[in-house]
Amino acid sequence: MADPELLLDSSIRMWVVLPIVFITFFVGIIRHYVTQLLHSDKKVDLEQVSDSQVLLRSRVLRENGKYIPRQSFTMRKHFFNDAETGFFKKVKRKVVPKNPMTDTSMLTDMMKGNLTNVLPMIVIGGWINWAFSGFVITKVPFPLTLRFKPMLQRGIDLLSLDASWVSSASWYFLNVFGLRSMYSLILGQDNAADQSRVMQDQMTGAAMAMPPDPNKAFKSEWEALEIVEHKWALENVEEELMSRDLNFGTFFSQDIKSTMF
Amino acid sequence: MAGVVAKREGPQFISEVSVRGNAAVLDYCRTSLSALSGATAGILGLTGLYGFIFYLISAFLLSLLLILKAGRRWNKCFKSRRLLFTGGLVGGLFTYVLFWTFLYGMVHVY
Repeated sequence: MADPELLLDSSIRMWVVLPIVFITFFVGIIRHYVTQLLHSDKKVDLEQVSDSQVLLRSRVLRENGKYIPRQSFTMRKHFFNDAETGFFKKVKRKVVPKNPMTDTSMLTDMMKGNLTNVLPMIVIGGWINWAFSGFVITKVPFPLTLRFKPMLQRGIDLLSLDASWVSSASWYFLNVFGLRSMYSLILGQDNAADQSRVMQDQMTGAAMAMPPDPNKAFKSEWEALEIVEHKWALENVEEELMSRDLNFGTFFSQDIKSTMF
Repeated sequence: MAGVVAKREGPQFISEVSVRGNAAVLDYCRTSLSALSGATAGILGLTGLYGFIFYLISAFLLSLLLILKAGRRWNKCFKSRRLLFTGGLVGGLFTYVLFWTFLYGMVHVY
């Protein structure tokens, strides 16, 4: 390959490139530990938990009802769906809409999330841009179009300089994105330094919370349970099992062999 | 990787913990490979398209090795083989570009 056109001072390498790498890396690690320190356990409402467990139980009954005898199934269904004393008919919960602006726990969570993730990135990016301005840092190995020049070469006004030569801010952002998956190597899974995962969690967490209208959930579960028909799958189980060779000799030795990859 | 899908007739029982653990192992392999191949590409001085092709080749080689390692009992450990091919490609790409730029700068520019 052709030799690079510019010759850069080695002290740039020592005092700019490497420090930016270390800064990015250690800020990520610090962010992970700070998040763990500030993490407050989510307060869960007992009633909400019991409601969601009841719904879970009803769903399991619906899906696996065919494995229990008819009388057991009817008994359980009666507990949920009976016209006067059934759980879904009798229990009505007071609905309190959870407004994200006024609900204190969600507000503090959002603030903490924003604080620990976005703020350090902006602050440090700005500081690096100010502190290491006016010179190119390194050459990106792939050709970039001229459109990227104002973005990647802050503070350098040479019109003829190849767009591959980048300044310190872009090196910082390259580090941020590239070290993201390295954190999972070093800190193990579920680490708080991984920004993208946290942002994803924020989006799915809001949808996963128990729907703030348990009455509606109860009603739909009631309807689903009403229409389930019980067909006992184990009806002729004795004849089926007796009629063929079960191979008990090899049954347990080759079944659950847990192997390590 | 723990093979945890118990073979029984009827519905299969899947252990969530193991699925996550296996995915973590894959992620680990993919990230390590991206870092090392990025460093290699930087030292070799690959530029432009050659660099990206190198990444795709090394990702493909990793997938082949993983399939070899999973063997014939792959569906005891994974839901589908496609995950072995495409898991973590983009994250790996970022890591690859980072190491590639870094080593290229270290070796060829300075």
